[in-house]
Formats: sequence, structure tokens, C-alpha cells
Amino acid sequence: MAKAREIPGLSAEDSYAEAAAKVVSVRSQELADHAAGVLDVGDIERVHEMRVATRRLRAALEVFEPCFPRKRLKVDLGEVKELADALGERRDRDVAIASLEALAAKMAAPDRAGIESLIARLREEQRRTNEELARFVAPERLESLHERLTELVASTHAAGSEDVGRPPQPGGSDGASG
Amino acid sequence: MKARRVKKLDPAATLAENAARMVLVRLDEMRSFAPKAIDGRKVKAQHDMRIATKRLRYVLEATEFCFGRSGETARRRARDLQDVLGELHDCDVMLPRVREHLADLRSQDSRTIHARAGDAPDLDPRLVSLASHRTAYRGLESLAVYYEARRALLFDRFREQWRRQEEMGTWDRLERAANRQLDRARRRRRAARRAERAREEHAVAERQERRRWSAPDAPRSSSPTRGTRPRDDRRPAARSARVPAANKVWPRVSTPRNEERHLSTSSEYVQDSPLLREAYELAAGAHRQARRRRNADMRHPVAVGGLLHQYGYDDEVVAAGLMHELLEDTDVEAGEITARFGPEVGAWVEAMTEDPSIEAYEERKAEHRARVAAHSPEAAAIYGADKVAKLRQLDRGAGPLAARQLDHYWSTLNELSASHPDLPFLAELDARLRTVDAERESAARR
Repeated sequence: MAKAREIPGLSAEDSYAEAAAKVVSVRSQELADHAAGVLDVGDIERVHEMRVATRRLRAALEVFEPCFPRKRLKVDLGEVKELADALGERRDRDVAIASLEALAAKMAAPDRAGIESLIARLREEQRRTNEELARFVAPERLESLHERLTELVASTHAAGSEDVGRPPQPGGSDGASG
Repeated sequence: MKARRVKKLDPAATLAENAARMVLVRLDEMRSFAPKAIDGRKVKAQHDMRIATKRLRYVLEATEFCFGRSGETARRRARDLQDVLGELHDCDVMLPRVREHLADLRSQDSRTIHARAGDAPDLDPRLVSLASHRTAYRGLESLAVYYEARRALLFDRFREQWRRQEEMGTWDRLERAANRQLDRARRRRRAARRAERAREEHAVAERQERRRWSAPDAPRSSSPTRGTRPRDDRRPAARSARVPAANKVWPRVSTPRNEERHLSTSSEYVQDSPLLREAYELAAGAHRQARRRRNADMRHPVAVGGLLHQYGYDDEVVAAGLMHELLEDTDVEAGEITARFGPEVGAWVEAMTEDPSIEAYEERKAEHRARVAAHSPEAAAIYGADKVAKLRQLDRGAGPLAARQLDHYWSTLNELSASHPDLPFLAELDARLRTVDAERESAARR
């Protein structure tokens, strides 16, 4: 797993809102940079890297939730979650296939047929999840998400804009992703 | 599993304070699942604990540096825990999938054989050999056994890992570090409230003073009240310290009660912190051995540390305040302070030490002031507290300041006001220096 990028100038003494802008800005760029080649099932690391970047961005949005305008955050976080789910579905199949292939190689020959039949079924699921993922990683969709996240970051600086800084609603909190 | 709500998150407060609030809730959430999760049959509790661990890890990934080494260690341990619980979960997901696939294949084969039987009165057993998936059954059964056994192995590993983490105090240390951050935040808020009250008191006193002096029949005393501004024509330019208006605090020396409070050299504040106790013991021991030297008692270091503590500085800064004279006045070496209290504390104490190779007083002091101002806000705070503590000592009957010492103090005020205008001691330093000037002026007239 790629190491998370350092956040330049981040300090414990930053205000929560300043830290939010710095962290989300870097995590959003990280996501954009990992989008290339994710649909290639021959290289499962790409989807993994993008999924990790999405997971980090989603976590940052949830950790810093009270610093952003609620409505705008809800929309953007929803989009990131959908992307994360689509990447997760593909990744689950990638991991299961890789793991079963490794297992099959170590098991007795009479046992392999069963495992291979399961792998074949998973490959079909992988193809379907990849088609689904293609909708989410279309360049124009990712570009639009990146632009919206840039605006979201800028909104943390806009004093009094929308509903920034209101106390979180019941249930609303940090890191609330499942 | 729905995340527990974190209360009192505040975009205007520091990242460290908010991070501490999140960590404490997420940590408690994770720990609350442990009693059930370490029971092998409670699959749901293990799943919930995995999610809770993941949430804690995510918070730490963004904020671990707020909690020092315990934050980083906890983040790594949360990752290990999440990994093993994740693999356990993979087994829980794969096992029904394997069984479902096996059931599907059997069902397909059964339908195929049934179709082949046609109108026969009974099923010919030989038809089973034509079942297209029959060679897959064994492998899938073996796979199910493999996942069951692996789950048991991973569960043992998880239980052992959790036991070891609790035993090593990983989570207790993180909890303490988070609570320390909240304590700091509370102290800062209290100090800010105190400063705000002092500013208000100062504004009221200044208004009253102005009214008194502007009244036509006001007595023109030859001995100005403490805090009266010095006549500009008698002050060198360097003495016109520009203290930000918001920072000006009327010197709280006007009532016996305040006098007592501010001149206190009580070391009570060190009792609450192991770090401060250790710093105090080292300094007291070293000063005792150096009793024949200048400044060889603990009253002044305790007063400096007390000031820093009173204004809400972290224990590390207070510890450096307690030890600020050690390198200059005792045999303690910088390496020992760094080894025992860390590089930051060591560097602050070193910054408090004059360069003995500079012989001329003015040059040595000027070099030291510049070095402190450039070093860090913490070093500047200790330096400022040192000057305020010494000026407070004047009220306790310490000998008068020499003229060159007074000039050095005014230069300190000017330079710290320029480089660290937010230091909390500047206003008091300003007011006390004006008082000293006024008293010297008054004495000269007599």
C-alpha cells in the first residue's frame, strides 16, 4: 500500500478548519493522481492504490466533517462513498481470485477443479464489477469531483458561508464510515 | 454499526484538541466491543470491533502527530488489529460463498441428471458419473474446511494480539496522551480568560487614572503611581516598547492579595506532573550542589516555571523554565537534559544560556536576546518569564536593578514585542519596567 502523502505545514496548533483544508486538499489530489489504469484487471494494484486513496479522502472528509458546509459535504461525500464502494466491489473479487489461485497452486490436484470453478465464477463477477466501476472513474466524472472538492476546501476559509462551524447534528461525527 | 457521536467538535479550536476528543470516543468505542469479541462465537462483535478499529485508525492517520509517539504506536497497533480482524472477516465472507457455490453446482448436476433420466421408472446410478461438476465437489469441501480452520487460527491470533496490546498499555497511553491534550486546551482557555479579565481591569484602571490626572485640581505628585507612563523626553528611543494594545495588562501589583499571589515561589504546581517533578528534582539537586555560586537557590526557577504554568504553557516548556539556569550556573550538561527530557526541552534550556566567550556585558546580552528571539516562541516565553520573575522579586526587596540591567530589560521588551508580539508576559514586563523607571525618576528628584 502506498504511503500517505505528507501534509505540508500541518501542525497540531492549526485550527481544526485550517487543518481540514490542508488535509482534504492533499487527499483529493492523491485520489486524482491514482485514477489511471484502474480498469485493467491484469494489474490489480492500480485499483488497490486508488481504493486506498479514496479511503483516505473519505476518512479525511469524515474526520473534518464539522469544518465544511453540511449540504455541500453531503453531496461530495456521497460521491466519494459511491466511488469507494465501486472500487471495493472490484477489489474484493481481485483479492479473492488472487488468494484462491495461490491456494489452488498449493493444494492437491484433485482439489483444484473445485477451486478453479469458484475462480471462474469470481472472474465473471470481476468483469461485472469492473463495468460498474467504469461509470465512476470516467475522466469527466473524476474531474468534476476534483473541482467540487477544491471548492469544498475553499469553503472552509469563507467565514460565515452557509453553515460552516455549526455543531454537528446528532449522529454526525468523525470517521463514521463503515 | 453506527459511529458514536463525538461531542464538542469546534472548527475554531486547535486540531490537537478536536483530535483528542475524536480519539477518546473512538478508543472507547473499540474497547467496548472487546469483551464480546474475544469470545470466538460472537462473530458480530468481532465485525463491529473491526469497524471501530478502522475508525480509530483513520482518525489517527490524520492526527497521530498530535499525540507524540503514543499516537504513532497506537495507529500501527490499530492497523495490525484491523488486519487480523479483516482476515477473520474474509473467512466469514468466503465460507458461505464456497458453500453456496457448492450447493449451486450440486443443484445444477441434480437437474441435469434428472433431465437425462427421461421417462425411466427409476434413476440409473451410472448417470451420476455424467454430472459435469462432480470433480469440483471435493475441492470445494476441502476449501470450506480450510476456511473454518483458518478462521480458528486467526481468532487465536486476534485474541493474543489484543491481550498483548492491553498488557503493553498501548491504548492506555493513547488515552493519557489525548487527555493531556484536552488538559492543555483547558489550561489555555483558562489563561485566555484570565488575560481577558486582566485586560478589562487594565482598561478600567487606565480610564480612572486618566480622569484623575486630567481633573483641574488633580494633585501633581512628585512620586508617580506605579504604572504611570514614563516621560517620553527622559526615555531613550529603545524604551518605547510597542506592546500591542490587546496585550497590555495592568500590572497586578496593586493589592496585597495580588502581591502575595504573584510573588509566590510555591512549587506546588510541579506535584501534578511526573515530568515537572523530575525537572524540579534535577534542578534542585544541581542548585544545592552549586550553592556557593550566583543564583544557586530554587526560588527564581520555581517562579519562572510557575509563571509559564500559570499562563497555560505545556509541561515541557514549564520544565525548561525550571531548568533554565542549569547550564549557566551548575554542573549539569546539555546532553543530560536532552537525554532525560527530550531534544526540545534540551534546546530551550540551551537557548537560555549565555555565551560566556563574549566578555562585554552589552554585547553578551544583545547576542543572547537575538538568539532567543530567533530560536522559538517557547524560548522567548521562558526568557520573558525570567525577566518578569526578576522584576517581581524587586517587590520582595531584592536589590535595585543596575542601569545597564534596566537597559537590557527594556531592550528585551522591545525585541520580544517585535519578534513574538503574542507573548503573554509583555504587558506586565512593560508595566513593571515603567514602574521601575518612575521610581528611579522619583528617587532622583528627591
